[in-house]
Amino acid sequence: MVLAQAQNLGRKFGDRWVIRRLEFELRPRDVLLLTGNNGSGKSTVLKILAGLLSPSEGSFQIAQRFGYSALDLAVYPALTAREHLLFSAKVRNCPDRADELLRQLGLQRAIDQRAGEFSTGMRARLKLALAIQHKPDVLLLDEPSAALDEAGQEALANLLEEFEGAVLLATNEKEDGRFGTLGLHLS
Amino acid sequence: MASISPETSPAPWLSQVRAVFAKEWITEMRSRHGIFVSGLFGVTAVIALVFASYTFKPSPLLAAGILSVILTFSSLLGVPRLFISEEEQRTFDLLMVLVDPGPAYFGKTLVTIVTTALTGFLLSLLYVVMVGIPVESWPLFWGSILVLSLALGASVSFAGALVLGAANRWVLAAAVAMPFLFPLVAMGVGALGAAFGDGRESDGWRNCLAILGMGVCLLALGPALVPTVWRPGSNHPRKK
Amino acid sequence: MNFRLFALGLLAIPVALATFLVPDARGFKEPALARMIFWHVPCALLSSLFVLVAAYYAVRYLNSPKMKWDIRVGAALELGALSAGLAMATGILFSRVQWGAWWHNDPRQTSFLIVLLTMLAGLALRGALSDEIKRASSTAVYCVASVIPLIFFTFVFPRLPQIAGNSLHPSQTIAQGQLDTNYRVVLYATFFLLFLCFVALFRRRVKVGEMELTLENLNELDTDRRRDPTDPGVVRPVSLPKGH
Repeated sequence: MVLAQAQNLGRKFGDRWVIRRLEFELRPRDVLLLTGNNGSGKSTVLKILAGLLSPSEGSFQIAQRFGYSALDLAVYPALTAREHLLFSAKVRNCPDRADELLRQLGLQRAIDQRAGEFSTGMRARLKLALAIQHKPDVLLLDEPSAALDEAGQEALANLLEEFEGAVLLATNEKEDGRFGTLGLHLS
Repeated sequence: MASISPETSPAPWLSQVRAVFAKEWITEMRSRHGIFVSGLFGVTAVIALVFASYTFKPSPLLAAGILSVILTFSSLLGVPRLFISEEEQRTFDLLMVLVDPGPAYFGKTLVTIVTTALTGFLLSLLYVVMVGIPVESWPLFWGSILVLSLALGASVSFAGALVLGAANRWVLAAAVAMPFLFPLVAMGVGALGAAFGDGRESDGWRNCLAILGMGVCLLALGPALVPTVWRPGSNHPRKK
Repeated sequence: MNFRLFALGLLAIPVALATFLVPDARGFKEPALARMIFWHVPCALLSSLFVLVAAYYAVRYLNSPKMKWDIRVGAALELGALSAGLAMATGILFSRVQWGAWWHNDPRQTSFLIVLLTMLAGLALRGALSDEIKRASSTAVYCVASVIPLIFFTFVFPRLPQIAGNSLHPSQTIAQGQLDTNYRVVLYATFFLLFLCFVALFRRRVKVGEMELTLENLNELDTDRRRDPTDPGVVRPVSLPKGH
């Protein structure tokens, strides 16, 4: 069963093509490692798949239930971690699992704390919780471990090992390389 | 966005609207920035007017014009914030990942209308009391404020939604809202003027109905049109 | 030389001469200068026409998001703003000459200024968005939504009894055949001439936009041809060994 695929995917900003002729197919348990220098288009690929950017050419398909977490994705500073998960559960029509998820990601003490008071690492954990809350079939993760401490990285590793869907992981961290079953270097 | 199996059923449209409304309401009540800015502008404008006109009392039509302009600018100052701030605090992507654009827009617009109505009611009362305008028909007066708030909120929300991603969003939101706001001001003057005793009350109610019609039109158009701006077709062919 | 443009130029000569040769109108403060309406009225009508043209192509873009529709929306907005600007300028001159002031607080003058500003706001929106897809969809939505207030200001508002009664503008003079026959004929002729001129400008503007798009596509094609022949062109993932 194909969970995500791209055909001849391309995106340009102004006159510059950031990605071109990208093709892939992801099935359950595939972890596609997207690597490349800064500006090579890793985040752009994930944003296109998440529906945040439209491609300039080509097409893609992705399972309706997907999770997205990125370094530059912001959370609502006025809402608590629990309120974030309650809100996303309501709009996604799924159980909120707030206690379970925040415990799993080591945020149980900050559950009623506003996200505006969070450190970068705590925000990264909250974004991961939001990404996996509805038990997605595809996970789109952009530099997920960049802001995480050792415990956070371990939680992420556990999450990826247990995850049964397909993962698209954009990273520059060598440590993340061990999760990959497929690799794609963008230049 | 194209999707392939396995399919799931997303939350119903109205549930998403309710969730967005609750989220926006909590956020707005915690920061109170939008209401504060709108209210402060309105209060300052009313006090400035009282200060400048203590030697004369404005005619019913002039008073209606001034009140309509105060309400319009006060909504214009505070309201697009709900949309623009989403981009400024970089949470717009999170919203788009979680919620469909239609309900996200509608939920935000409803909060906008409620906050516009709240500031509108307070400012109008303050205006009438401080300037000392006799109100000939209170039901028409409050009816006008209610429909004006609805239409102003819908118009400014629409403009705010269109300028996301643009340079100079705040100024642009005001410019883009202009074609929708001018008819409202014109009709608002007619409705409030009648409430203050200028012209027949039935004409005032007719103006109210026209304002309501325009507000409802924009409310209905928004969720249908805005998604094409917020999430342009994922398979957009660039070639002609 | 383009034959159609040449013919248009030839047509312009008798029409322009006719605007000078027609006898002076009666009932004006400066009868000779009342000829300004030959250019003012057609420009105002054309701006309203371009509002509808922009909305039409905007709907087509929203139905099928192709850049060729966006080019037409942009062209219609630009030419609508140009004709509205010309109508405004000739109107202000007319106001100074015939009514004694550059700007009267005339409801019709003000409503037309709003029409002009609305088109300028559309152009400002286009200019402020750098992403071409977002620019196209935002402009299309704006053009569709603003057509209702624009129709209100152009056709409804000036004819409201309380407005028509307070305006210096005659509201139904042409429609009710109250205009002098000579004047009416020349007015129709200038409208026809300006209509053709603006259609020609619209077609040129669309052609320029399409050529820009074609050039961009050709540049990309050229880059593709110059690519290393051993380069497969497509970027695909490779399998990674377990525990690499």
